Amino acid sequence: MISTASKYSLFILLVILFNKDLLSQEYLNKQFDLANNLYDNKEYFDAITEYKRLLFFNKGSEYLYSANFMIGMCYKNGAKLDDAIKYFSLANANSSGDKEYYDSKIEIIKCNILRRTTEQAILMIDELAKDKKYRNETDDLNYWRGWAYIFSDDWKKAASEFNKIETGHQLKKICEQTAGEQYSVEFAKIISFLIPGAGQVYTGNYLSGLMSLVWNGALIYFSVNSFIEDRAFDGLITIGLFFRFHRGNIQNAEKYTLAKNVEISNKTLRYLQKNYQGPKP
Amino acid sequence: MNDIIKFHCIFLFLVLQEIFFFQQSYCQTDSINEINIYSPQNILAFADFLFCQKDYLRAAKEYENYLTKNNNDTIKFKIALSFLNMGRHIEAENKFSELLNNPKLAALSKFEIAKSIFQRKDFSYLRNYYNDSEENGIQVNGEIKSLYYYSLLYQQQKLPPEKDFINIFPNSVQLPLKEFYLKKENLPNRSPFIAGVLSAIIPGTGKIYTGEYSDGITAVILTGLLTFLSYDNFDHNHNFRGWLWGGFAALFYAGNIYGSAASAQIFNAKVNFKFTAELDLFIKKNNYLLPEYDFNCK
Repeated sequence: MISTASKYSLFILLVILFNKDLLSQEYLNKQFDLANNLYDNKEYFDAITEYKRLLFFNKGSEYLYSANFMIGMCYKNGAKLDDAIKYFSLANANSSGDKEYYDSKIEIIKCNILRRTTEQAILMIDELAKDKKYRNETDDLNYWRGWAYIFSDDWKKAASEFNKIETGHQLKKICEQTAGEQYSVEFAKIISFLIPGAGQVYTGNYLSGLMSLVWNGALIYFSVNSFIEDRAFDGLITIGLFFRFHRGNIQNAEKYTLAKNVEISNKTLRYLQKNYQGPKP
Repeated sequence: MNDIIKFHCIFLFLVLQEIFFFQQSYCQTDSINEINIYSPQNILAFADFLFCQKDYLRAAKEYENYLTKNNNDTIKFKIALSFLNMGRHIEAENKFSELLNNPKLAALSKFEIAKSIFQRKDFSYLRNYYNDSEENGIQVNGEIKSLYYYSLLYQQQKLPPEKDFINIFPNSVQLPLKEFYLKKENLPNRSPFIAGVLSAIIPGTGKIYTGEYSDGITAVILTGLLTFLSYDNFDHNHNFRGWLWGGFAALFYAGNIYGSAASAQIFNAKVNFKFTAELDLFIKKNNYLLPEYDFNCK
């Protein structure tokens, strides 16, 4: 039988043991708080130094995830995405538990989206989606897949991913609108094939379209004229030149359409950056 | 009863032991918190860690922090080296210059300044730096001389005789440097003037001279064809078409002469770029002909 006094003694011993462990970590906690304050104040360079100092002096494993994760966040905020991925990967390798693993993986995915290695991002999202542990995260994964498609300039697929989350999703509408505003490359090429310069006019490049029409028209005229005057060799050479110019006109139409689509995409991205309130990569 | 007393004695012993360790631990924690992390020794240890991690900007900042507490020329040397490794050459050179009065670090600093000048490819300044050192009777160590002679391989000027050139360098690198020397002497450069003249005489031959065979053959055929069409149309009194094809032919002919000269310049740029890249790789691989520093980086 243990007496009441013994119970008190046991209690005191446990309290001392607990406090000892807590206090031995105090300087590390303070260091972590200092680094976090710097991060909150957007002083990312100094924050990284302090997180690295924490990792250097911390001989245990308790900050391996959080400090590496925060270094990754600092680099990401400083747009140093390769470095950010390196530290998120270190955090991922030191994660304990599904949430830490998932969070660090998502940050790696976001960095891949931002640096436009979107195929890699989608591959990683698919891997997470296959994992039964993250069944409840389907909406979140679809959301980041949507963003990956936005950054790979595939607005229709992006809209489809946001539609899986919610039919009236704000991003779905924006993506559909952008997809609708974009010019069809195939259409521009076809109309330029039929009427030289039409593809350029379709994208608003009127002068270039007119020049294409004049060059191609003149060459056809000279070619036909040569054949009429029984100068077949002249006609063949001119028609050869016409084919070269005609091909150039189609390529030109394609180039202008792609450039215009990039302009439209960038306009939407700028809008999202400034006005969209939801999570962004 | 005896058991209870024994139990209490053991417990008392454990509690006292824990109190003793607790106090020791608390004091230690306090001292680590207040002193240890930011003690000069720990700042230096952390700076060395960053330096070895090639995080030079942070390393330089930590070293400078350490210098506010302890004046140490070796640390100043490491700061300068950090700047040099970051490619901030002028700052590095200024910092190395401050160490020229330290007898232990003067020679190394002098070399590092030469290395910095070499890295920013200011070869005329490197020549002056080398000549000034020699004229002022300052002992120029062999490494600076080697670096200066190595820089000659990058430049357009004539190289010294082969034996004089090769003997400057340590035996270990003489063989590859002999290869570089011979390569430099026989770089397959093409003259833009010759390329232009060749294309003026026979269209396309200038391009063939610079290795652009398909362009050259196309130019011969196209210019010939357009000239023939122009001649033939004039011959048959189709003056408009004669002028049209003649205009095209003249345009292609002139363009071909200009293109051939440009092609020779591009050819030379490619050859020189490849050779320079090989030189850069070799000198970096051989640590600028200087032994590696031992900074205990694992």
